[in-house]
Amino acid sequence: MMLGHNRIFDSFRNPKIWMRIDSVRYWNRRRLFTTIVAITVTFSGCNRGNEKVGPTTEIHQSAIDANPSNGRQSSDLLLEFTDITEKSKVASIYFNGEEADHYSIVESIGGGVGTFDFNHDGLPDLFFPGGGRLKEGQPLQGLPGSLWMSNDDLSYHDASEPSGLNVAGLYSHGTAIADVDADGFPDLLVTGYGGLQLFINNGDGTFTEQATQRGLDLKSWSTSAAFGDFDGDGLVDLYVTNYVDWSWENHPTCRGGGAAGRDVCTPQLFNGIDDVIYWNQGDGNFQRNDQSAGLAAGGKGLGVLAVDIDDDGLLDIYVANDTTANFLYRNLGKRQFRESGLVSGTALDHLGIPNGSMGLATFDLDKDLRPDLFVTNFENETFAVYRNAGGGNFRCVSERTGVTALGMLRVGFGVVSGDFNLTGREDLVVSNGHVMRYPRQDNLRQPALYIANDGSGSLESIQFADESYFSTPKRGRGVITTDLDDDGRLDLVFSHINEPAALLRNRTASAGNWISLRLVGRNSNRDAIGARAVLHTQNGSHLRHVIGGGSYLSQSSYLLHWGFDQKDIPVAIDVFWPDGEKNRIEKPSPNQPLIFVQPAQTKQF
Amino acid sequence: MRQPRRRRKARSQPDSIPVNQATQDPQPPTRRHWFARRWLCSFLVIVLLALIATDAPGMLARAMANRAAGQLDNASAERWISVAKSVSWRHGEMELLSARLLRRQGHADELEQALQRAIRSGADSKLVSLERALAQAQSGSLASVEPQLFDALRNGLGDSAEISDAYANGLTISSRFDQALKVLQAWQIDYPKDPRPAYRIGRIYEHKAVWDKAQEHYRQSISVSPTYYPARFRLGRALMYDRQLEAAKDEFAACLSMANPIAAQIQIASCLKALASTNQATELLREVLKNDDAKILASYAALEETPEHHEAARILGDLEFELGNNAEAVRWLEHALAFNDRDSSSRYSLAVTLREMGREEEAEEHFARFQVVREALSRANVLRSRIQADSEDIDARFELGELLLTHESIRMGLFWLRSVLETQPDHQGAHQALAKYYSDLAVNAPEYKTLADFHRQQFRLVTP
Repeated sequence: MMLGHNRIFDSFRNPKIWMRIDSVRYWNRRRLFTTIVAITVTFSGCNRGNEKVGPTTEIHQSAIDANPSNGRQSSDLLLEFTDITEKSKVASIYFNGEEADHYSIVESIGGGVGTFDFNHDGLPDLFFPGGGRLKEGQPLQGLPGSLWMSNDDLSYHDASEPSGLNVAGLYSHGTAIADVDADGFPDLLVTGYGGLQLFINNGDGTFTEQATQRGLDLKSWSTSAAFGDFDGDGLVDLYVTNYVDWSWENHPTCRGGGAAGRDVCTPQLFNGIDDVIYWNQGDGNFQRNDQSAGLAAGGKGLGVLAVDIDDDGLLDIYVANDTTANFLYRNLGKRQFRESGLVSGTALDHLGIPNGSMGLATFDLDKDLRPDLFVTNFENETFAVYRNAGGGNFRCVSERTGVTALGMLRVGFGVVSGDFNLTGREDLVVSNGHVMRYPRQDNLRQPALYIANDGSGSLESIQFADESYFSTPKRGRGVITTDLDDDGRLDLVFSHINEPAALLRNRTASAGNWISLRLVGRNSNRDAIGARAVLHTQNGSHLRHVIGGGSYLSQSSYLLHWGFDQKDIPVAIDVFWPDGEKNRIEKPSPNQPLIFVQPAQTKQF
Repeated sequence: MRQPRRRRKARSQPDSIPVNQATQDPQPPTRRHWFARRWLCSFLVIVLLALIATDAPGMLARAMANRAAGQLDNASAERWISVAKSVSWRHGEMELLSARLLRRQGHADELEQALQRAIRSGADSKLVSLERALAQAQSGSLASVEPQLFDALRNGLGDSAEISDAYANGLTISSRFDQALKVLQAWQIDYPKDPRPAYRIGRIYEHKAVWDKAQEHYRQSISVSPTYYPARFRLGRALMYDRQLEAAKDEFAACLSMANPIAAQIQIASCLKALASTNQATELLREVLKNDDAKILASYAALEETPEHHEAARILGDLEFELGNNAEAVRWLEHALAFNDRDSSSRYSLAVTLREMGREEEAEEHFARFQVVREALSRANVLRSRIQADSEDIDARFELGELLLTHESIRMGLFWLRSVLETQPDHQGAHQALAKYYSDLAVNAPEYKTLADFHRQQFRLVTP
């Protein structure tokens, strides 16, 4: 543990590490300048008081008073996302191996996408798992993932080979990113059938795969993963969802519209596999959880999200299970959890039925400064919205919010929340696509969905022009948000099955202002996963979390982003660090990216 | 002494007679008038005797009853049966028709009594036997009556539409969908103006989760008869499943012209709830639930639906919870559970509401009971998938039947258990489960004793 913390500090103190950062070829001077200015501004404005604070009930009330529900603004009509895939030169295709016509359930999962600045040049790079090939009776053949390095003009080049990430071996699905060894460089996890791959960032633009060496000994079928400091030791631990017990020996034939009347089998024919937590030991190694962690048996995990749902300072975990009840693990501290999905009201839908849940997002639907949950589900089930009622309890408000009235048959996968049009309200974007190859009811390819939040607790889908990405059917799976062009508007990256990934640049001509904030933990984990931040403006307060996991098989940026009306004035940002410290950034300047490094160590290690 | 008598007379007869009364006072009948009246009376008596002798009023009433039954207007048919019984001494045919209506509505217990009355009233014994066979087929016990139905269809005995309906129903219950579809398609060809075959085909596709075809056939049925409400109702349900809520609401709204449209109102409220019109849905259901349960059920019965759950109470309970009226929510959710203890959706909603009210212990109890059911039903999903992959998987069918019968749906539990016996008539587990179910039922409803005895006997026959 000590070693881990020392390494956090090393990343700031050790001149060798800083030198390595400086030596990165693609360091952008303009961004460096912006970053330095931002750090200076934020530090000059921050309250260095180190007092720990309890739950902020007074903020909840002020938020309600100061932010009456308001109607839709005209800027909503200006939503504009430009598909820049071709221009970006990103040419990543996830292959699921279905051309062999084995109709394996492995084919239906797909792959995700992750974003991180692996070389510290200030530009978000992209990683896509590669998938694999299937040959009956033989081990699944993995295809290497691809790393796309940003060139600062919204174009990318393939850095898979020089980085060493073009390693095959695992029929891959998901990715999660965090600085697991706290050396200042983000590391990369890849999930898939048969285990995990952990690519340790060497800090020189290359990676080394070290899953087994570091104790990530999983051999099962992993899907999504979430990093987060679950035991409060300042180091990121890892939660991995496992899916089902499919193998060539357990490969039933299921009827459908494919060759010889076959199609992919449903997950109901298989048993779920227990999820796992790996505790970061602080010496660069992980240790798998034992029974005392309190994880539930079974589950058919596809999505996971780590967020402190009850503001008790302990990072909780929400798991999307396919066709079985979702799990909500309330963190009790001391590496123990209590599964409270059913009693919390987050396990089932509004009819008390478990859904085929896939993707997860958190957002503050009703601006009560509590994280609400959004879950994508299988067709006919509708997406689910759980409103946080406080105390770890939720109400399923899918009907009340109008989500059940969206009226479309969609198999929803990845989902992200964000204020894409800078209105002060968090909208949602969902990636859709069917799991069956020959679906009876709906199409294999389905368009993505933009769900707008009207600020009064209602959600509705937005229609786009015919040529828009949002009107084009895809076999969608993962989706992430990040600010690709650093213009303060959240962009989107989608992953698909057997077709190229898509990059959407947000060109929305909004009248709003924005603030983006990257938190860098010192006592807390370096990515500040689990941190909570509230932007106070003259018109209200806006909650954001640095979440672990989320969406589906994917890793969004850990950047916190707020939009607000141009006439509104930001007053302060309260930052609640995972280790319990609180800082205040006074009068944050709008329309520029900020980086806030956790103030100097106050705890004694 | 005489004065008082005169006074008494004066009190009883007014002293002066009003002019108009005096002028209208009938004249004493002349002899001619007397003969005319006599002839008229005689003529009427003769006519009446002739009518009675020829049973013309009864024939008319019976014709009207049969016509109404043919048009699937059960309420009118029942009224005409009542008229026919009161004007005619020939009750056999009407008792038989009563039995048919009871069979259509699924009142197996009263059906046998009506058939007994039909026999006593001189109904054709072949037709009584056929009606009994139809009832048996409709309940899914097709094996023993199938040859009889087949012969009846071939030889034109009885109403072939009724036979096709019951026969197809029996085949469907026995999971012999392909054969059921053939019978229904033949019926559709023979009776192109009957909305039922298309409707029944739609139900089969709905059961098989082929929703587009189900909707197509419901629409076909509606095009044949726009007032055939069962098809509209099911189409509305199918559209709800497809999340086409506005379109579904329109179909339910078209059912509001039914005599008892409560079921349609409940579905409209359900659509409104899903469309986030919470207040409208609540108001509508508050009105609906001023009716007693019997009237609500009668509305469903008119749509050929026999709901196992009290949908209105559950939805209103959820709505009251959404509106923060927790006490009202608890009241309605408890009402739903009193109606059917197996209603796990209502139990879950009740548990969540009680938790929100701080009644933690009660909430825990309901959560625990709900959890038991959920665990059992998670197994049911596995079994359904097994059956989908292999329709001949008898073990899965049997296990699913037992699970559903115990935890969720009597109707579906019985469906799967009977489907086991269709493939394996001596399946001792299925006979044992059915024997137990009917024995329990027979404690309060002796009419189920026969079925209980039958399955008990079968169970004993195959048990070593």
